[in-house]
Amino acid sequence: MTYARTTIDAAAAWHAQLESPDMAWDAFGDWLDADPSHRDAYDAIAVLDAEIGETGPAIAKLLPANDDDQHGDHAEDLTVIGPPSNTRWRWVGLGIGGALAAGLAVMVVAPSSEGAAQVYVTGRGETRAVALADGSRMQIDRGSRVSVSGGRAPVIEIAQGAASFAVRHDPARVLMVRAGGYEIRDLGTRFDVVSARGRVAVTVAQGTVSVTPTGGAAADATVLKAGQGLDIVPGKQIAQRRDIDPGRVADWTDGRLDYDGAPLALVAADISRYADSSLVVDPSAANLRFSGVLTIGDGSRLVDQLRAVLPIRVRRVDGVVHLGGTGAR
Amino acid sequence: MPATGLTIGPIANPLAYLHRVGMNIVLDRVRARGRRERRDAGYVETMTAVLGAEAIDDSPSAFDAAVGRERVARFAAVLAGPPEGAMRVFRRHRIDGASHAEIAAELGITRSAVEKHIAVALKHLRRALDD
Repeated sequence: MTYARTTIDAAAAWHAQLESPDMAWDAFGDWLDADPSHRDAYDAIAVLDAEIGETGPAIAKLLPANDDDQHGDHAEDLTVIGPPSNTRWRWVGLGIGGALAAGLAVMVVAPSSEGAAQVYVTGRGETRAVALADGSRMQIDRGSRVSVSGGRAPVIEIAQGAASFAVRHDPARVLMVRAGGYEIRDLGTRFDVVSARGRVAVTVAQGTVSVTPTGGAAADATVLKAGQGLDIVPGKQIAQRRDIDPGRVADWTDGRLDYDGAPLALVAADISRYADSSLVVDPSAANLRFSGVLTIGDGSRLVDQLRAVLPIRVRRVDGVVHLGGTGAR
Repeated sequence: MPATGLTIGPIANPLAYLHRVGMNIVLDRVRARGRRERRDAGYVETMTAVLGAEAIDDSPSAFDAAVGRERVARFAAVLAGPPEGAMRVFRRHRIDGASHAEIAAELGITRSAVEKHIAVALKHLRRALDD
C-alpha cells in the first residue's frame, strides 16, 4: 500500500522521536487521530523498524565489512548476540489418529531406552517442543539446556533455562523434573520450571505438583496447585509461594512475558535468561514494579523495552548490566 | 494534566508506557497474521504443534526461511546504500543497539539530528521495501 509521501515522512519523524525525553506525546496522539491513514502509515513504519531490529544479527552478517569497528567498545553490550542455531528441528507431519493426536505434529520422540540421556540445547531465538516417551510433552525455552532420561518414567534435568510441561495423566508413573537441587513431581498437569542464575521458579497452570529438595523426605514437599507459583533461591534455601495467573504460566511459549505489578528483580531475572549479560537491580531501583507485556524476540531488546517505560538508568560495568533508579521525583 | 499532579509510581511516562504496550500488541497481531496468511496459502509444510488449543511452536518452514533470507538480504542492501549518513546512524541504532544519545556523542551531532537521520532512513527503507 502506498501512502502520501508526506504521511510516511511524518510517521517516520514521529517514530524516530519516541526515544526523546521531549517527545510530544499529546501532539503525536493528535496526529494519529487526525486521519486514519496516519495510523496505518505509522504502523507500517513501526512494524518495519521492529522487523529490522529483530533480524538485526542476520542483517549484520550481510553488511559490508564492519564499518563501525571504530566503535567496537560500544558494541560490547546486550545487542551482541550469537547467531541462532541452524539446527532448528524439522517438524514431521503426523497422520491424525484419534482425538489425542489431533492437531499434534510430533517431531522427535525422546529416547525410550532407560539410562541414556538425551540433551537438548536451544539457541537464543528458538524454542523446541519434545514429545516424551510417556506421551507427555515438553516445550523448551530459548537459551536452555535440558536433558531427558528414564524412558517411560521420564526424568528431566533443567541445567539452565526453562521448560514447560503438559503431562498426560497416568497414575502408574510420575514425571520428575530436577532443577537447581530441587525435584518437581507431577501427575497430569501443566506447569513451568525455570532454572537460571541461582533461582528456581515453578508455576502451575493446571493440576498439582510437589516440590522437594533433592533427596528430601516426602514430608518436606511443598504442594502447588493451579494458580500457584514457588520462587526458590537454592543457595539461600529460601522458597516463597505466591499466587499467579494460570493464564500466564509459561507465557514465553508465545514469545511474551506478561507482568502485573511484578518486582523489578523478578522481571530482571527473567530478562537475564534471554540477554547475553547478567542483569543486576541496584538498590535505587529495587522498589520499582512493572506491569505490562515484553516481547522476547532474540532477547536483545528486552532491557530497552523496560527502559522505555520505567524510570531506570542502564549501566554496563564489566559485562554486567545494572538497572538503577533515575532518582526522578 | 499538570506534571506535578501525577502520582509517583513505577511508570515514569504513562503515555510512553501505553504506546509501548500497544505497539507490542500490534506487532504480535501483524506477525500472527503473516504466519496465518502463509499457512492459508498452503506454503507451510507442517509446522505448528498444538497443545490444547494453543499453538506451542511455529518453527519456520523451508519456504519461510527462504522468504526470510531474501528479506534480510534486501534490508542489508538498503541499509548499506544511500543516503549514507542516515543509514549509518540507523545501523548504529538498530543493528548495533546504540542509543540516540550515544550516537549523538560519537558523531558530535545533536540528538535531534540523530532523530532526523533515523527518520530519513526509515522513510527510505519503507519506500525501498514497498514495491
